[in-house]
This record gives sequence, structure tokens and C-alpha cells, in this order.
Amino acid sequence: MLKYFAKRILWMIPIVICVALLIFSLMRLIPGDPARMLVSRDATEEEYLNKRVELGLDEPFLTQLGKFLTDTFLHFDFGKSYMTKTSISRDIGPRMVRTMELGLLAAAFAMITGILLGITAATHVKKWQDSLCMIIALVGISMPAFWAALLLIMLFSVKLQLLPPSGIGGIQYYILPAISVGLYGTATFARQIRSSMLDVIGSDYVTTARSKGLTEREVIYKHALPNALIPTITIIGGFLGQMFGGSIVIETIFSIPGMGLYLITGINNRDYPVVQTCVILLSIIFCIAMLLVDLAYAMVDPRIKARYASSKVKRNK
Amino acid sequence: MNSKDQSAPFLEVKDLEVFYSAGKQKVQAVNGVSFSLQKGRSLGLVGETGAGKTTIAKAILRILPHASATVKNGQILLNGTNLLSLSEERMRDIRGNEIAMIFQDPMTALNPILRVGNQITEAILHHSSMTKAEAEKHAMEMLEMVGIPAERFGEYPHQFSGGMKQRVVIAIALACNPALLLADEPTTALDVTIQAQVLHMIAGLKEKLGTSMILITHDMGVVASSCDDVAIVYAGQIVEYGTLEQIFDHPSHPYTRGLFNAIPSMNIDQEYLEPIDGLPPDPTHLPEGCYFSPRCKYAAEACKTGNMPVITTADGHLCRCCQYNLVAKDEKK
Repeated sequence: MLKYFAKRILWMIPIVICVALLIFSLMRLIPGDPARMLVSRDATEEEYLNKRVELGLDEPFLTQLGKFLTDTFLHFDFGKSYMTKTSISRDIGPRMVRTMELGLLAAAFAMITGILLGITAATHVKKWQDSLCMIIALVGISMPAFWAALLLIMLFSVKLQLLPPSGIGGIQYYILPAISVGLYGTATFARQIRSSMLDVIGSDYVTTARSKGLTEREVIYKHALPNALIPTITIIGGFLGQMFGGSIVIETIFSIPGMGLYLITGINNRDYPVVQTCVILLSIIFCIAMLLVDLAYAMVDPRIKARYASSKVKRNK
Repeated sequence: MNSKDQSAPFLEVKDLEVFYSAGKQKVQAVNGVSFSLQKGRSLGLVGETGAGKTTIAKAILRILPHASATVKNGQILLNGTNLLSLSEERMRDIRGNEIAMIFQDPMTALNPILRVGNQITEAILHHSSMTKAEAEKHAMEMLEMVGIPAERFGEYPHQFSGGMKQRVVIAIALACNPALLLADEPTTALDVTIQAQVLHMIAGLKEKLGTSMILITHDMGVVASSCDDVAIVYAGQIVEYGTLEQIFDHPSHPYTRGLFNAIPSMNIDQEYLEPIDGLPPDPTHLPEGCYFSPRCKYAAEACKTGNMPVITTADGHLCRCCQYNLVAKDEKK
């Protein structure tokens, strides 16, 4: 088990290096020149060339790449932003914390509401509760996050004046963004939980559980739900990716100075180091999240755990 | 072994009717089943796949899928209390405690992600005032009783073989010392050597605990080795009912006789078996009159209309056939 996860963590290194290579090359392939954007509009050709030298953009591609890789992976130095001239590692810390907070809140919201909706639908199949839950899920899945965000702002901030429309501060600033990001997850989870719950409720071991005289609550939450969660865990991985993507847009709408907003500004300004750092960090977060999903699999399902354990035994021989 | 000691029956099922609705179609699974069971005896419910045997058992325990199944009519009396009119809460006290069920397929009857020990303990905790530690100890004793070492308490179902899983299922069913055991084809999914072991074990435990049993099967051999009474089920009706001797020595219903004829004989060299022609009726469109009449070589005009009367041939031997005289004559030939 431990060996399996150690191996998975080692595998993250080549993955992250590949991501770094890709994003480095992509940024230099897309049109736009950071030096041109930094100098004033009526700057002379000489000023522009000086800027390029200052940023190190005049060097050959491979030299730049080598410098970038050694700085990033050997010295853990992400460099300075072209625009603000400040250290990226210092800037990105609080931003990453905010994005993670938003992401975790959104994930918690999506999972709790999704599971509740899914269970309600499955235990009242073909009744009005089922239809209601599935309509909510359909709306959630069809509505783009940015539009949901705007509607939520209109209702809770403008009309009811209950929650702040933008900015950062206490937890109340995170409620609307978390709902906007998590809504899609709620809908996907609800649909997945409903269908896997229906499978599980019809299975023999649930009948066995009933035949022991357990209450309906015990049957559902102790016997059916943990089994229904196994296929749901798979989609959590995909959902996490969706969520980070979504948070870029949502952070812009709610003006949350997180990684999303930082990345967007970086892309618009062709601020190469900022974009590279953001993407590398996101890929690391994503790898860790996927690893946690796999770990969760093994926690829930002893059969999968046994497989990890047995593969370990085989390797020891 | 005699049906003379007629005290009030322990379990009595009267005119049970169950149907499943699938879309617009109505599947008549059980059509007026009545039987009774004395304490400590075993009743074999024999019939083809789809005859409604499992539905009868699930109706007794009230674990039919409530979305699709409806108990239209009937009474199920356990010591005089009608189970069908009990509240769900009261019924939960009976399930697993007074009546327990062994399921057909041990591969799927256990929850794959719970330790087997906990699956047994759970039932015990629910029906007794034992503490968790006591219940676990009792669960380990149950495992030992069905021949599984107590050390395997903490293992998961995938670590057990099919026969072992069925033992665990039996341990769950017997954990609370039920008065009535519903065994739904407990050996069908197992290979023959394990079958014998499991049957032997059920018989032994039944003896030890004084449990009554309804054994559902389509295997006449299993019936012969473990039942006192036999009910032959066809298309959701009991077509013949009697003691083991009555059914095996004097099968009176044409269907029962057909079942026996389809068993290869050990003492004559038989080239072909004698099957019952035709297929069981479609439960969404049951035939008029006797449900067996389309396949019956004795069928007369009287068989094609109306309800078939139940005729008592010998002491307690019931047969749902108006041509049984002809059948009996045939037997003598």
C-alpha cells in the first residue's frame, strides 16, 4: 500500500516536468511579446531591445528553457513578475490559499448537496421528490457557472442584500463563489448518486440488510450509500479539474484575488513567469487531488485495497 | 412425523395474492396460496423458476420491493398475529429475530465493503440488549458454529469462497435464534459437495435450535433429505400439498407426476427423460381455469373454466386437480 503510493508520488515528478515543458513552449509560441507590452507605445527600437535583454528573451529558446527548468526545479525559484517586478513565490502564497479555500468550500458544498439530492431522488424514485431533485440537477448541469454567479449576485447581494457581491474578507465572501463553482458538481453528483443508489438498492445485500430488521436509515446510510459512493469517487477527480477551471472565471466575477485572477492577468500581460508558475502549481495540486481520490477508493472499497496490497506482495517476491 | 398433533399452527398463510406491476402489465406472481407449518417442522416449496416461491418467502418477511410489488389479499399468521397488518416498526423487530432468511446467491448476499463479522454483529445488536463486545463474541460463536474459524471475523466477503459465504449468510440468519427460517434455494449456487455440507449443517442447526423452516428449492433430492412436508408450486398456486411420504409415494397432481418423471431413474437404463411438454404460463396472461391445463394430458372440458377446486385426497393431502382419479388410476397401471 505505502509502496504503491510512494511510487505514485514519484510518478508526479515526470508529469510536472512535462507540464512545465509544455507551458513554457506554448507561452513562447502564442503571439504577443512581453517586452513590447512593457515598453511605452512610442518607445524606440533600442529601448525595446534593451527590455528584451533585461528579461532574457534575446537568448536562444533552449538556453531560456534550461535556465527556467534549473531555476524552478533545482532552486525552487519562480522568478519575478515582468509587470510588477515582485517575487512570484511571495505573491502567489496568499492567492493559492484563497483559491484552495474556495475550491474546498465548493467541493464540500457540491458533495453534501449532491449526495443529499441523489439519495432523496433514489429513495423516492418515480415520486415528485425524485422529479424535483432531477430538475434541480438538470438546471445545475445546464447552467454555466458565470451565469449562475451573476444570478446569485442579483438575488442575494442586490435584491436581498444578504451577502457581499465581491471582494474578500470573512467566510460570507466565499459563500456565493463557492455555490457558483460547486453547482455543476452538485448536479453531476446528484445524478451519479441517484443512478448508483438505484443499482445498489436493488441488490441482494441490501435485501439481506433489510431482512436483518435494520431500520431504513441504517439500510440506506450504512449499507447502500458507501457502495453507491464507489463509482461516484471516480467522477470527483474530473470534477476537481472542472472546478479549478471554473474558479478562474468565478474569481474574475467576484474579484477574488486568487490564483485564477492572477493567471488571467498573467496571460493577458504575457507575463511568462506568472503563467508558468500558476500552471505548474495547479498541475501539482491536481496530481495530489487525483492521488487522494485513489486513496479514498482504497479506503471505501476493501477489494481495491487488497489489490494494492497484493501487488506489493508480488513485487517483494 | 404425523400431522395428528394439531395444535394452533405456528405459521399459517391464507389466500396470499401478490402481483408485480411492470409498466402497464400486471404480473400475477402468487395467486391464492394457503398453507400452514407446525413448530419445528420443515416445509419444502418446490416449483420451477418463476413459480412464485421466492415471492411467497419475501411476502412473509415483508421485504418485497415496495415500488413494484403489491400484496393484494391474504393473511400471514405467525402465532396468530397477522404479519401483514403489523406496523413497519413492529415488523422490523420480527425480521431477523423471529423470522430470518437465507438467500439464494451467497456471492451477492453479503455487503462487499463491510467485514463479515460486523454483518453478523449488526443483526444481533439490533435484536438483543447485548453490548457491542458481547454481540461480537456471539457473532464469533456463530461463525464457529457454521464451521468458520473465529479469526476470520474481521475479513471481507471477497476473501471467502462461495460455500464459505453461504455459511456466513446462514450465520447471519441464525444469529438471533429465529423461530422460522426461510431458506431460499440455499444450495443452488453451490457445487454438489458443498451443497451436501450446507444442507447437513442447516439440518443440524435446525435440530439444535428447534427452528421451523421453509425450504425453497427445485431439487427433489434436497426436499427428500430435509423436509417433512412438501408443497408443489405452479404459476403462483400450490397445486399439491402433503407430507413427504404422501407426495413422494402418491403424487396426485399431473404436474407433480411430471416432475418426478423428469428425474432420471437409477434402476432402469433410460435413454431419454420424460419432460413436461410446453412452458410455464405467462404470469401476465394466466390461462382460464386450471393454470396447468394447457400442458396437462388429462385436461378435460371442466379444467378449462372456473376455479380449480382443492381436493383433499388422503389425510391432509391436498391436490388442486379435478382429474386426480384418472391420474391415480394411471399410477396403478
